[in-house]
Amino acid sequence: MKIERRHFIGMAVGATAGVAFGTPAARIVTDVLSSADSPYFPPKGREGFALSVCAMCPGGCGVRARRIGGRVVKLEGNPLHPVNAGRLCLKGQAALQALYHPDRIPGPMRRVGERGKIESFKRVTWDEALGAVGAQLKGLREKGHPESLAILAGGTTGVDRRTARRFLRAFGSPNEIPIDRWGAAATLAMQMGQGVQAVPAYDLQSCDYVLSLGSALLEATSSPVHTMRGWGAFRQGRTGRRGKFVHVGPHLSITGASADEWISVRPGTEGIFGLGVAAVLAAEGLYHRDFLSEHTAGFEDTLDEAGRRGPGMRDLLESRYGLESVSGATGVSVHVILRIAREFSAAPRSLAIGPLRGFLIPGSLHDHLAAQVLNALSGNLDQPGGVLVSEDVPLKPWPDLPSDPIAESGLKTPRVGETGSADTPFIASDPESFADAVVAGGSYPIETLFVIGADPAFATAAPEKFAAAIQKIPMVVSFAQLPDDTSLLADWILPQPHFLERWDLHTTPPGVPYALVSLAQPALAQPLHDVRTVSDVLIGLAHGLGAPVSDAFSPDGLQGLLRLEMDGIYQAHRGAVMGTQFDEAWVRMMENAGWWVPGYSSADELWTKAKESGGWWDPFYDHGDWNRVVRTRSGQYEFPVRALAAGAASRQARKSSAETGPLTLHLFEPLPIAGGSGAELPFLQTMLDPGLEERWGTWAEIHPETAAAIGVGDRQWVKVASSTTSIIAYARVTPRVVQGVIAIPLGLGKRGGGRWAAGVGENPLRLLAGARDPLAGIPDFDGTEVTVMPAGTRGTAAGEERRA
Amino acid sequence: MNARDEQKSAVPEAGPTHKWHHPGRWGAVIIGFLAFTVISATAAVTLQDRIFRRPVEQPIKFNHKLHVEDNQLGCSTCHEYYEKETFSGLPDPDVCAFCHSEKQGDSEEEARLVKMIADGEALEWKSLFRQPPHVFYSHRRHVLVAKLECKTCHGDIASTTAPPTRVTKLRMQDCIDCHHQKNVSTDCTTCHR
Amino acid sequence: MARWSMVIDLDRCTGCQACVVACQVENNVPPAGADQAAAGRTISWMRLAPFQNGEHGTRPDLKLVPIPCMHCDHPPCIKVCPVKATQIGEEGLVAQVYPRCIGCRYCTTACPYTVRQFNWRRPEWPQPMERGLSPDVSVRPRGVVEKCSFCHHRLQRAKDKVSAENRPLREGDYVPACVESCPAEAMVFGDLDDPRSNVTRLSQSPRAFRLLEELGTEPKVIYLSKGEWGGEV
Repeated sequence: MKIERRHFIGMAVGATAGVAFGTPAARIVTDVLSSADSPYFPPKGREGFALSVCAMCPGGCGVRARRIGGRVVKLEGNPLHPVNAGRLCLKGQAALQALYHPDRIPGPMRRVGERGKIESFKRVTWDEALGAVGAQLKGLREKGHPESLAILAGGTTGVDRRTARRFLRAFGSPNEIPIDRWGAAATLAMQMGQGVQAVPAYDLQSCDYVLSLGSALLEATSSPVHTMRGWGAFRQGRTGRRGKFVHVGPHLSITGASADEWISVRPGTEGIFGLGVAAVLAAEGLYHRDFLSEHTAGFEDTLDEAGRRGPGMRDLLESRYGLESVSGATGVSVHVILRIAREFSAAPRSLAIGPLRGFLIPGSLHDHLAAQVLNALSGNLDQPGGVLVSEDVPLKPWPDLPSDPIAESGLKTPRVGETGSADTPFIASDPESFADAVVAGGSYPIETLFVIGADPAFATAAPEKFAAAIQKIPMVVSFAQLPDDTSLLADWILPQPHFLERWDLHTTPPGVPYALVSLAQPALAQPLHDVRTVSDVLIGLAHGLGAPVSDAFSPDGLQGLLRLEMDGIYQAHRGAVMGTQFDEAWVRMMENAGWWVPGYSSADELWTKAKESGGWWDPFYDHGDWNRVVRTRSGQYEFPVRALAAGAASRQARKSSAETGPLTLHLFEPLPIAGGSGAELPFLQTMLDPGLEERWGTWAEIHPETAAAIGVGDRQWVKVASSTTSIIAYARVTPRVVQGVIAIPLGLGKRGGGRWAAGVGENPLRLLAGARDPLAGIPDFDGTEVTVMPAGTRGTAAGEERRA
Repeated sequence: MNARDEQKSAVPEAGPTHKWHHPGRWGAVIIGFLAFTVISATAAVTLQDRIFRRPVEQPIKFNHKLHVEDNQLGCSTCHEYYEKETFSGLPDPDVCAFCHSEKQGDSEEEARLVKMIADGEALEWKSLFRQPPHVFYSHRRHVLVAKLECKTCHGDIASTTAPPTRVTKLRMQDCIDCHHQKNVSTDCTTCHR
Repeated sequence: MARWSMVIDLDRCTGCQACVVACQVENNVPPAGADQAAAGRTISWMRLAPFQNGEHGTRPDLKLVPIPCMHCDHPPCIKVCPVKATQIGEEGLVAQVYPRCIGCRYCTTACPYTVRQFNWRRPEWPQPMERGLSPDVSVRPRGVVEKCSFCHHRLQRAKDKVSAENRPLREGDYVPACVESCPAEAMVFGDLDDPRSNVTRLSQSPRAFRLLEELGTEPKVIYLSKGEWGGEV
């Protein structure tokens, strides 16, 4: 590529609106005089630092807040923290805008008017709010129906999740509805193949070749900064070795732009491509023979006790994934499939990554299984540069709960909206099935719902349905920092502290192999608003309910709780407090030789040192500990032959229908607004897509040929309609997306979220029609068919209406 | 035609040439107005503090001379950060309370201070030396490294018996002169932020 | 005397824009709304420029390149400034002195990298956002041009710190906010006159190139990329 001056001239016109003729003389009088007195007084005082953990995403980066005179003026990465080593992504950098957001909820609020407007809420005291919620909870237990309480929880690896789970147990309800299922399909694949319930931890920095089956690796997966640090090392961290990254998918995302090669496939066929590559490896014998024979089962055909032949993985690959058929399904030429297969097998350490698509989109189970098959063939399970499994964190478990007949009877009731079946027993309830069951009036009514660290009325596969469900529940309590879409529909809003205003203890973020515990400490002496943490609220409510529920929590409050959990770390007799790279190498070397050199001599000392450094971790990862990483019945990795055979049928079906008529909707999550959060902050809204320079609005990417066929031009407003509803988007005609697909970003179109988010853009999740992954049972975010038609140019009625 | 008529007819002819070569009555008015505007604007900018700002009132009429010269207290007793930070710091009530939780003398101001401390009132000292907000200045560096004496910039404040009522705005020329004299960088980025 | 320089490894860069936000937070850039974005008047000293060589709209070859001020050794901007509001310093930093700037915007036109930006509006922070303002960086009034300063306030603080500790400035004492933040560790900062510094070592890499070298501006931001692009200008 050549860089020429015209590139910059084009940028100048777009970015700085050229040079207009100003009136410098007039300005001198008005501005120089007025600028002498800036209305903004920067803080004065001594510089100080506080260590905390970023909660803008599940990534779990350690942060160091720079304080001047009692104000936090900058966030930086904690240089000692092993997840991010002093680095921080754009969301973490923007977290100060969340702390000082002008629309934060100032105190507990009670709804007195119609739903949907912040004006309908009246400020109340904590006593009033907790009194009302406590009375409601007491009533549920007195009636003998504790199961009528549900908690929908998302968010990070902090203590609030653990408190909520324990509260529900003690109270007596099975209805914990998890919403953060971005890793759900990947976890399910791990469960099926390796028998462990964990998101795969990819050892990017040690591998040489990555085949990404539709992942958004560099945007919103696992722990973004940890992944990007691995990426840096993968690309240029080793002398003479530069990793190659191949991105397979229908859309050239930011990840794709960083890749060495983009293989554009038809939507939904990433897994078929992966299996096509696997078939070449199997046919040409380009796999790790020793690994297959020692650690896997089901590659070759099997015979059961009765002597019946069961087809193995090789058979499935040969019969279903021949080069011609894969090429026909994916639209990729046979030569490319062959070349990728040979590159994959030739690289010293190659890795396939499943469709980790974002913090909301779990990706299809079929495609995750396809990636796993490739990894098994290359023999990289639990090897350097391969797929690792996070080590357990030895937090001290909380004491057993006292016996309680009311809770026991409640816990025996089935969960509301249970979706697990005989085929997919690992999936619990999800927000969509919960909403379905509540709207339909399931087996028993839900009387009270707590929504914690989540915005299900915005960021689920069925936002409208969840909004309808909320209206059927007599008491909905939303724990939030900003009035999000769910809060605006709730009955009570209990304001949450920003992560710089509280204590917390975070366990290993998903996708990081090491066991680690990060301690978050408040950076501000006093919270800016009248806030209380989820844990404090739930502990207070438990104590209000009296024994036996109150016995679930010690009276020491949150800090006491964290201190207690940390005792388990001391008793584990391994690892070290976070330290420099030298400390890390030292600890790893000693543990490798079977020694543990404690850097602390008591639990109190560990606590003090964790406060000074950011936490504790164990830098030693034991590769090839098969008993830990493979826990299937056979004790071996089991090729998911049956599941893939079943999935193949549904994958093929989708492809054929996508070829005719309507376009296939492809949702993606740009990092600034990934996970449905970020649109609240103006810095992030201004940088939604640096490639197309889109900001402050929802755009839709369409291939030039497809655009010509449906009569849509670049920078025109289009109406995108599915079977449920329609949205208006700003069309960008670009070869970054394959024919027949319309790619729309997720994360905009909020009703709430404060002044910078409300009413900006559209929420494409409303277009989804409730389809579910045929294998996993998880809501399917892909493959919705939509019709697209022009809706005027910018400035016309449709556009103006959308902006207003 | 008499002389008067001649004179009359001559006037219109001479008019235009006069206007070009000499400012006429209107020209004088315009120039005068411009001069007035420029002079008054300049005066307004340079003298705005004296004209528009009220004199600075401190919570206590602090006697520097009594503390520094008579009682031999070091500057860092009250301005505790001047050798440690970019700023020098103004004393908290705790610092005053170290001596003045009980009466030490019999001045009226001290009595007021003792009462303020007893009542737990905040002491809101007003800064008397001001730099524009776009200047980075480090006390630590000038005191520790350059070894400047306080009076180089702060004048005879240590021998005053009552605080000045006017803010001293430090001027760039003074900084530049000293930097030239001591052969220190006068790069824009050395001081401007 | 140091000559400060930045190396950006495009092979490592993931286009995440952490540098952009780190810069805005560090340098007191006010939050801009949708209206200012629509008018192209948002301020961003660091931005990601898309270079897209689509061959007749088929296979896009998209690369996002972080562009800060290049702090050229021969900066075209200082030659056109009528009031000496922008000057190159002894350590090679191209400084912008806001109180001197009269807002004529000659420099925004002269800069071939288009990194200079004009303040069209009086900066505003809705309550209580002004509490996040850093005291190290001045708030720019309406009507002046601003640009990346290589966070020279961090150099001021670093010099202040090392002089108090009575030691010389070492590599890593002075690092701009963007470099400090970069998750992929794609950015390196240091002294180009120090033969042992990382930037000197990387600048001699066969992968190294600078933007628009043919203009003779001698930029001190050096890019690294795998051979085939950027080499030829």
